[in-house]
Amino acid sequence: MNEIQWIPVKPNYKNQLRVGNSLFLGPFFIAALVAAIWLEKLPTWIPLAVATAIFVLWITLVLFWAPARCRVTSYALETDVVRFRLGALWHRETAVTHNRLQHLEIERGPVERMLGLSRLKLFTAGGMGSDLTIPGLAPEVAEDIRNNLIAKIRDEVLEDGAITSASSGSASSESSSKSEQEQAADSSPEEKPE
Amino acid sequence: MNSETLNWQRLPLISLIFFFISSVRLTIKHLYNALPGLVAIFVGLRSLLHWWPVAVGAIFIILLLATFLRYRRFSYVLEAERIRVRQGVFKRSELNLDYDRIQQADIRRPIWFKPFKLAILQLQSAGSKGSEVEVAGLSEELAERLQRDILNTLKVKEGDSEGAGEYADGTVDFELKLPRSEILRVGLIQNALLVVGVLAALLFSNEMISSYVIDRVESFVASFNSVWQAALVLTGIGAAALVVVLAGAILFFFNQYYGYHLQRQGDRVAYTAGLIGSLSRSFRIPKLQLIEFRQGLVARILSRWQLRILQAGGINDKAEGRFTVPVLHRYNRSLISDDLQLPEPHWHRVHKILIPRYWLIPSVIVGWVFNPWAGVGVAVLILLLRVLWWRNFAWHYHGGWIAVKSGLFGVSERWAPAAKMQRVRISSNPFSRYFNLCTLTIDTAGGSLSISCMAKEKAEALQRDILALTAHNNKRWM
Repeated sequence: MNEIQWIPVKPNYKNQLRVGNSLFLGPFFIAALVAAIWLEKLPTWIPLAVATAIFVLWITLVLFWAPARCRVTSYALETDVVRFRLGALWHRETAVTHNRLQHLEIERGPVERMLGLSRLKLFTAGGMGSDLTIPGLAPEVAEDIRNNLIAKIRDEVLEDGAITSASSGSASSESSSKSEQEQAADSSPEEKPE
Repeated sequence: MNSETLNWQRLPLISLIFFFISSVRLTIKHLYNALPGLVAIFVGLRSLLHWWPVAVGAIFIILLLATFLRYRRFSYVLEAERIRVRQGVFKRSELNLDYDRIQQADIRRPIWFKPFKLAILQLQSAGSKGSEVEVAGLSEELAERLQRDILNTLKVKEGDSEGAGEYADGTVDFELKLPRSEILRVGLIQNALLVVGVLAALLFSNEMISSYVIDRVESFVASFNSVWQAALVLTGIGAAALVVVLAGAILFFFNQYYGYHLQRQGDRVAYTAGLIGSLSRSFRIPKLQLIEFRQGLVARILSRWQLRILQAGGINDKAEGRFTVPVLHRYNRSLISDDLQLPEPHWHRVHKILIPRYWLIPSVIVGWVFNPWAGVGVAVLILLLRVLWWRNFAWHYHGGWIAVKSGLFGVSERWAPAAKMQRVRISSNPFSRYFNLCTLTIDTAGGSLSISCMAKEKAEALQRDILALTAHNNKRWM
C-alpha cells in the first residue's frame, strides 16, 4: 500500500485551541488573582504562586502545545476509509470504513464561526465515544467531505448473507458431534473478499 | 397504515401481578434514591414521626393505583414486521420495534405466572439502554411462537436462508445440554470469594461499623479461657460463613441454570434454563458482535469456562442480560467453538515492556509513605503479578477473527469477527514511540478489543488488513 495522503487541517485550528485554553484557564487565573487581593487570611504568596503556575501553563500550551497539536492533526480520505489523527505528545490515529458509518454531523461553535472553521463528526455503532471528530476544517471542505461520504453511503449495496452465519449442514445432536466438527473444519471459516 | 385502525390488544388481568411487582421495585429504587431526603425528614420533623403508618398506607395506595393505571394504559399490536407498544400513565409513549432490529428475545416464566401458563416476552434492540420492550402475560405458546417467528424474520432474499417452516419438525443443527453435576459447578466458578471480600470491605469502610465489629470480636474473644480456643472458634465461624456463602451461590446459580439446554436451528440459537422460574433466551447468529470466554481463578482450577455472546447495543448492560453458557468443560468448549466457526487460536505475545508498566508509581508511593523496604516489597510483588499478567496477555488474528486474551490468575478471551469492526485506532505516547510500540484498539458494536505494546509495523499492518477486510465486505454485520 502507498503512503497515506495526510491532509493537514487549517492552520487557524491552533488559534481555536489557544482560545479554548484561554477560556479554560482564564477563570482559574482570575480567581487566583482575586484571592491574592481580597483573601486576607491566606498568605499572599500562595495564590500568586498558583497564578504564576497557571500563567506558565498557559504560555506553554499557547506557544508549544497548540502548534504541535495542530501540526499532527490531519485527516486522509481514501477510497473506502476515512482516517484521522491528532495529539501533541499522545498520538491517536483512528480509521473508519465507509460501510460502517451511521450518520454524519457538522458542528460550528461560536469560536469556530469567528475563525471560519467547522467540525465534522462521523458516527459509527461502536458504542460510547466511537465517533470520529475532524476539527479545523474550512466550512466548504467539511460540507464537501460530508456530501461525498453521504453519496457513497447511499450508493452502498448490501450483499446477501451475513458476516457471521451458522455453519451449513444439518448434522445434529451430541451423538453426531464428530461429523459436526469435521464439517466446521471443512467449511471456510470466513469468506474473504476478493 | 393509520395507527388508530390497528387492533390494539390488552394484557390479561393476571398481568397485574407483573405490574405490581415492577411498581414495588420502582418504589424501592426511588425510596433508596430519596434516602438523604428521608433522613432529613426523620431528623427535622420528629414531631410528625408518629404519622408513619399514614405515610406507609399512602405509599401503598399510590402503589396499587399506579399498578392498575399502568396495566390499563398498556396495549400492544403485533404486525407482520413490527411490534408496537403503548404505555405510560403521565408520560405516554408508543414504541415501534421492527423484528429485523431485534438483537435478543427472552421469554421469562416467573413462578407466579406458571399456574396460568403465561410468560413475559422481552425484546432487546440495538439502541441505547432502556430501549427494550417487555410484554407480560402472553400465553406460553404465543410467546414461544413469537420468539421463533420474530427471529426468523429477516430481509434476506437468498434462497438458502432458512425459514421458520423448515424447522417446524424440531430438527436441530447443534445441541448442548448441561448435566446437573456441571450446573452445580456454576456457583463455584463465579468467584463467590469476591462476595466475602466485598462484605469485608463494607465492614471496614465505615469507622463506626468497624469499631463496633472490633469491640464485639474483642468481647467475644475475652469470653474464652485462652486466645487459642477463641481463634479456633473464630476460624470455625469464618469457615462456616464461607461455606454458607458458597452454598448460597451454588443454589442460586443451580436454580438459574437448572436443565440448561442450548439449541441451534439454522441461524437461531436459543437456550432454556431455570428451576423455579425459567428463562428462554435466543438470538440470531448474524447479530453476533463479540464472544467472551471467561475463567476465574476457581474456574481455572476446575478447568471450566463461561461463555458470553454479545450483540450490538447495551454495552453497559449487566451480565445477567447476556446470552450465557454458564459452564463449559474442554470438550464442550471445543464443540461450541466449532459451531461458532471460531478458528484455532494462534496467540501472539506483546512486547516485554508491558511488564513494568504501572509498576514504579505505587512502589515509590508505598516506599515514601511507609518505609523504603515496604516500597521494595511492593515493587517485587507488583513486578511478579505483572509478569503473570504479561504471560497471559496475547492477541490473535486469523481466519477472519480477532481475539485478545488477558487476565492475571483467571483468563478472559474476547473474540470478534474482524469484518464487523466499527473503528480501529492506533495510539502512542512519547514513551512507547521511543520503543517503536503502540496500542491498537478495535471497537465493535459489542465492545472493544485493545492490544497494547504492539510493534508499530505489526499494528499498522493489522490495521490495514482489518480495514481492507471490512471495506470490501458489504454483507450485513447486524
